[in-house]
Amino acid sequence: MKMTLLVLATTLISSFAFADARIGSPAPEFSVTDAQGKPQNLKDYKGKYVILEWYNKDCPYVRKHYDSGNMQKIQSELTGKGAVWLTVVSSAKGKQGYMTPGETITNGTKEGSKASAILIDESGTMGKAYGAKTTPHMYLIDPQGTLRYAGAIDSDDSSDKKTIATAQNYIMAATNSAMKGEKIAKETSKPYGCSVKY
Amino acid sequence: MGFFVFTLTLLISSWAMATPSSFTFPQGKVELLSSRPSWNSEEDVALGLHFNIKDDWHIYWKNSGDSGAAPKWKWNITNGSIKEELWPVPERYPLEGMINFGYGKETLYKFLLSADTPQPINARVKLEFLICKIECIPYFTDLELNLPYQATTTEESPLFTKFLYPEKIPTGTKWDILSQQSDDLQTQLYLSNDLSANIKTLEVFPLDGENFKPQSPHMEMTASGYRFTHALQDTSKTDFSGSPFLVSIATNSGDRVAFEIALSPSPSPALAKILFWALLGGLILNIMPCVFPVLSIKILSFLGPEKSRHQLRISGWFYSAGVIASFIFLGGVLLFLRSSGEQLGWGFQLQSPAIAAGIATLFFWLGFNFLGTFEIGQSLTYLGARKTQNTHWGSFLTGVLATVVATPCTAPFMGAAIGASLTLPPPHTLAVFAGLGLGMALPFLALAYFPQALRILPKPGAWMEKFKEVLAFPLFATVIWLLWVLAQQIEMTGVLFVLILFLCIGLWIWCSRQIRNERLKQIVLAIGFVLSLAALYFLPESSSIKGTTTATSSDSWNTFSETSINSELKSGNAIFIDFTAAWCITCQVNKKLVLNTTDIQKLFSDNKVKLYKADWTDRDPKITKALASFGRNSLPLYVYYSKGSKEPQILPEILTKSLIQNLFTNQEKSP
Repeated sequence: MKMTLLVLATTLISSFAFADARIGSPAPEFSVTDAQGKPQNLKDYKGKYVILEWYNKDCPYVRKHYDSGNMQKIQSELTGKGAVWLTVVSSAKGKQGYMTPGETITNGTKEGSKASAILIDESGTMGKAYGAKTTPHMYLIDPQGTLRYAGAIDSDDSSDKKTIATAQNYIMAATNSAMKGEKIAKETSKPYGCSVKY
Repeated sequence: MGFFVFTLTLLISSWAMATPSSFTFPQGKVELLSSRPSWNSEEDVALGLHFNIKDDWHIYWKNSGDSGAAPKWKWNITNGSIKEELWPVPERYPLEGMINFGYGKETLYKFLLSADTPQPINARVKLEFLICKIECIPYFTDLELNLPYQATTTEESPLFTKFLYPEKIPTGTKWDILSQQSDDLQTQLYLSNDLSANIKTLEVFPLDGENFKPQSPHMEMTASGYRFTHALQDTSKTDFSGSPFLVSIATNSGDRVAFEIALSPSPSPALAKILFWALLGGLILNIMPCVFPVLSIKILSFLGPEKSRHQLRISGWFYSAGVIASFIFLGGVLLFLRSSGEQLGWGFQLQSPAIAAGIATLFFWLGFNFLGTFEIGQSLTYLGARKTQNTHWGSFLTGVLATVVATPCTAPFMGAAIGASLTLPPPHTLAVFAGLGLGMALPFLALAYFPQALRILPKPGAWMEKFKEVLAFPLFATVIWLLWVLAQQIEMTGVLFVLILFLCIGLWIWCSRQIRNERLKQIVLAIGFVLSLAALYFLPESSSIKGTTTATSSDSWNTFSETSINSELKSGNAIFIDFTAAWCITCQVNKKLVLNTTDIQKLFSDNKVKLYKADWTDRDPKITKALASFGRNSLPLYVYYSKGSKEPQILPEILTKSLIQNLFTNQEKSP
């Protein structure tokens, strides 16, 4: 009896989870400054949908979505529906994709970015709190501050621009479903692309 | 001259038209190869994409891991087709806190060919691949190869056997899912004895990067294979059966084996097995110190000569129904409260001071009754069920009472089973509770059917009266325990309130003895009983004080918090966590006899073990959550993390000194 219970118990052992960002749980709070030097906190956006996009200007997968105009298109479409789009640069100083605030502004204009703000997270604190692994890595937070989607931007992990047309866009689908009050069909996916340069 | 120009144009046009079979890029080269210079129907032939890349760069496996992307190919083959793609066994590349699966230096992706007719084969491939160091560069290229047909056999290129590819699953191999706890999945890989005995190293890779983290799962060797704990990605998925894994084994004899295998669903006889143990556990409850007096009185009531067989059986069934219904009710309440977000566990009833005081009051009355200070009339029939009339409901209520009384005793023994049952679908959970109830009712039911078993007892007589009187003392002991629990939950004034109430009860009973009229006496007693329970409404429980148990014990125990545990784990300290509560007797016994003894305390401090105490006397959702993370919802629970280990070790519910001492000796043997 005792033995069996022990066996039963040991099969159920699990360690404490070091959970960071979890679907259905409050999204981690962040406090960073944007390229304009303005402080950006998640709590300022209570009541709005917030989309986070991890960015590295030199990553081929980021290039795929910006050079094709795909990212800018999604940005303007979703911000047009009232969502807040925050592009996050977590590259550490000296690593690929790092930009000073001034460079970030120039680069944003050059990209034709339609993001609400570009956040500079050179310490990587915000990126690690969310568990951001790749560029691009996408997150959706609802007006209550709950994390609703985490993962890839779309279903095709090719770096070829031509695949955008046939891929299923996860972040668009998730945001649209959430805004309509429907269940999000795909809440997580495996993010693809370059690693975030912490 | 003319001929020269002709040849030149021919050459140029063929250069322009033909696609090369290799592609060179700054970090290396990829070449499309065949395993043999020509093919014939006697021999297997394969194509290969052979990469040679510079140090520090890597390309990817089909699951790329935390970042990166797998190569992609699109074949266009005339006179043949690809019948199988073989990805070599990858390596883990740790990269700034992330893990990728891939290949460095040299590798060969293999494609088994099947041909249509004895003609040359032409293969073209559109290849896209990503190569990364820290930064990543994608490349696109088209490659082409012609493979002539030749009847004579040719040698196979050694390149095609240089790398390890997955093969057939060895016989006797099976991989079962055991259980899932939030972000962890426990599995068991069974290997044949010959293979198992011969393993030098074993590595596993998930093919499913969406649900499994790329980290190597924690593994533990078992008699029949390996037990794994996989870290899951944050997904809502709960069914992982069918998830494929690649297993790579190096044997002591220097061989290497690899195969892909899918997880099988958890073995299903689990429910039947749990039910069996629930039944057995229920049986054991009958000898618990708090249940025994109530039951023995009930059994003694069988001895009366006036009972018919039929009556006995009915009574037995009513009692069983009472027990089972109460168990199902408790299970239902537990499920309901949990589903509505309450953090509760088994034994939760005693976390409310009013209920602890109520049971104490009830036992106090019962004790007096056992002592014979008053006879039980109709109002209290169910407590002792001495009278023959009304025994049906009396039996039912005895069942209810026995269950209420039994639950605090059950916790230490049934904890794991009940914890496991709460993770099952609700109907199964209730089935387990019903099983417990049936187990507890079983001996009684058996007696109802075979009352001849009672013949081993002496003939009814004066001894029964004496026996009953003696049984009052375990009841009073239980009252003391309950008051002590109460003292941990509320301030002394509350305990004083209950003690004064007891004084009043005593006085009330004494006064009732002065009444001559039997009927009036019964009514007065009944009123007193109801009043005494009603008085508990005024129990001053607002002044609940927490942490008294922590304060009264030695200072070596820190108060439990998940953050401090996590930071201790990060700094690699050894940790011992004591999940305890004042109402958990086993916990107190362990504390007195083992944990708080000077030699064990010295052992802990010598080995620099950080001691934590999680006190669950009052309801505390954080502790309920922590218990749940170990698959428990009851006490006691002892968890030990050895130095530098993040894997918790669950100790038995009943501790011994040697058990604690072994923790440290074992550690030295296998650091």
